[in-house]
Amino acid sequence: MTILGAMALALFLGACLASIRGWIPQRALTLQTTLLLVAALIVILRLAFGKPPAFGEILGGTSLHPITATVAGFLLAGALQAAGGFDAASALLRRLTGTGLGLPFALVVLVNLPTIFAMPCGRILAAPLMPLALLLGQEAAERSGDRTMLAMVVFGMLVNAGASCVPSALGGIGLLGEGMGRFPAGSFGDPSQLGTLVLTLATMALIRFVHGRDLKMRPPATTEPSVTVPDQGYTALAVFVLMLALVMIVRPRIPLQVILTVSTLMIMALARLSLANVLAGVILHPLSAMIAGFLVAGALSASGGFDALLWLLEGLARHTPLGFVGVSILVVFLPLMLAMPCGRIMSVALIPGVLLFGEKVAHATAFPLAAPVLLVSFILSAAGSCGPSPLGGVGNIGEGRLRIPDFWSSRPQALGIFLGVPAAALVIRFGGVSGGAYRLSTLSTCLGFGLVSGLGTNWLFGYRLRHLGGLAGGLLVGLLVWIL
Amino acid sequence: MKRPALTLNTTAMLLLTIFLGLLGGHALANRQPWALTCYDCKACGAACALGIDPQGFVAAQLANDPDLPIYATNIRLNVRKALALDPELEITRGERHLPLRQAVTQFGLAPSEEVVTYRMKARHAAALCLECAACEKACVLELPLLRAIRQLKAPQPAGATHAK
Ligand code: SF4
Ligand code: SF4
Repeated sequence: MTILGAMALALFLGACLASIRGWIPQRALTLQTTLLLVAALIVILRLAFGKPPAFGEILGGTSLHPITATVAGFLLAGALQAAGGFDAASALLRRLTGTGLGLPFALVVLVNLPTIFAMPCGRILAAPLMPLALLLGQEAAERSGDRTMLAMVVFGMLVNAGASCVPSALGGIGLLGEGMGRFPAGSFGDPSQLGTLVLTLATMALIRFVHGRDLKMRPPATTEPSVTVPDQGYTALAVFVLMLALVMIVRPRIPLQVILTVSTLMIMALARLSLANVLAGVILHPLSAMIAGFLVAGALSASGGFDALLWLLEGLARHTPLGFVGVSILVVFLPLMLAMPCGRIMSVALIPGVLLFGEKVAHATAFPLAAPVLLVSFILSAAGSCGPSPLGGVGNIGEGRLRIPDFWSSRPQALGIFLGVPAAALVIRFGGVSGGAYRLSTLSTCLGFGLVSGLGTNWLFGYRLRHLGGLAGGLLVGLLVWIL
Repeated sequence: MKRPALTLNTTAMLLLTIFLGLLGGHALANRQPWALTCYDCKACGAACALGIDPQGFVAAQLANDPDLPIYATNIRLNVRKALALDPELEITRGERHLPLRQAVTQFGLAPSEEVVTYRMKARHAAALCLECAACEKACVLELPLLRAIRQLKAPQPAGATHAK
């Protein structure tokens, strides 16, 4: 560990903390600018220590794949949105509530839809699903006479959306972790999706029984969404689902970005969309956050910041009662304590350090899966933390719509994530890390988690535990998690 | 947002965009545009008998830096040859990874003694690469990694755009 490394790490963590606490106001310095300045300061520190600036290492450490996949994913999402694909998904779900499966079926599928159709940024699905969440939430509230249920549906869907960028095959954060840790492609998908089912359920339970008791809200009057879904909306949705299935099942040796672009072009041709329609889907915030994250990560790596982090964590593990397990828990939930508006910032900047520490934990505890367990948990916690982030997290969307105080949902979301992340860790602990193959043992795990999600939804919304809707919905969610 | 803050934040976003463009520019200038498609999944690394991280060659092309340190964890060289290559290359000694020069003074390594490498400059790793193409076959996208390796192998001034 060098002094330069320790100073670089302190600069980075200090800047994150200052942004979270509002000591660096966002209206003066956005997070991206702050991170860029941190990288510049680290380079200046290097020069002060008589070292070359290491621009090559900073540039060479940048992983282009998640950036280009995210851009391609956003373009596809833009095309889907403009073609009415998301409206089609909502309409299909709405129609299902009219069947014998009823409201619980629609509820369990709706709140978990973001992680099933995992997009590179949870915000993509959060907005189009919001009208349906309000409608179904209102229905559940009226049926039971408990208005909290509206908040349960809205924030259940939002926390699920926040964490859904981990398993996305379209440039999700999981891809980053798999690449950096040299784990099989797709191996973080199922564990993070299953963890997300649990954290969604936990958030809804916390709102119902703990945080929602004296919640006062003024939700907008909800009416049946009047949008008529254009025919091409269903076709666009079908193209999207087929594309996802192709990527997941066939795994062609073609860059993912090419498949995404071809799908986008197909949807554009089908729905006669203009380039402007598609470009409207691009959200710059996660992209610029990721690039800034890579810059800081490169500067930290070149200056020994990760060695310092490792030294610190190992020291804490060896010389305090926390031990390796206690420090691992601290590492996993660090992103939740410094909740950023985009999980990619913490992920990109700290994954190398987390991986190194994971290897130490594996060595110290003689548990070979320690590194992937730690990494999946860290990434899920980082991704989910964009829900409760006080810097414009996804939860704010719900607080605005329900007209409840800002950041009210931060606590139940953060606690929900805290309870859900260990589920992802357990899936790796007992299932190992394997990508791609459709294994029967994984199917039973997915169905099992789906079933728990369905049972929990039945119970939380006041239905009989064995209500067919919740059970069938949960099983469908489990099956879709396994397939997609 | 006040005007100075607006200017500063906008400049930061522009710089981030330029940074991204730089990677594409380097790939084109080095005539290795395919390097942009690399997933950075490191699947190629598992195939290399020398423990080289072939993705490092891709990163060196994108960064336009043949001196980029990359992992090469299983190359055995005698101290004399390793010193001639680069005294700053990192070697593995027990549980530690340290620069060769430091190891020589600290452990009094003899010139004929064998060391195992850990990290070295991309062009040096390219020079030692066996060109067995195992990494190309293991690559999930079957990328032409040998093209990048051969280009880095060619003698060139450090830091310059690679010789064609
Ligand atoms: S060509 Fe062979 S020796 Fe060279 S990097 Fe690839 S696998 Fe390793
Ligand atoms: S296997 Fe291919 S795509 Fe993956 S890092 Fe190696 S070169 Fe890049």
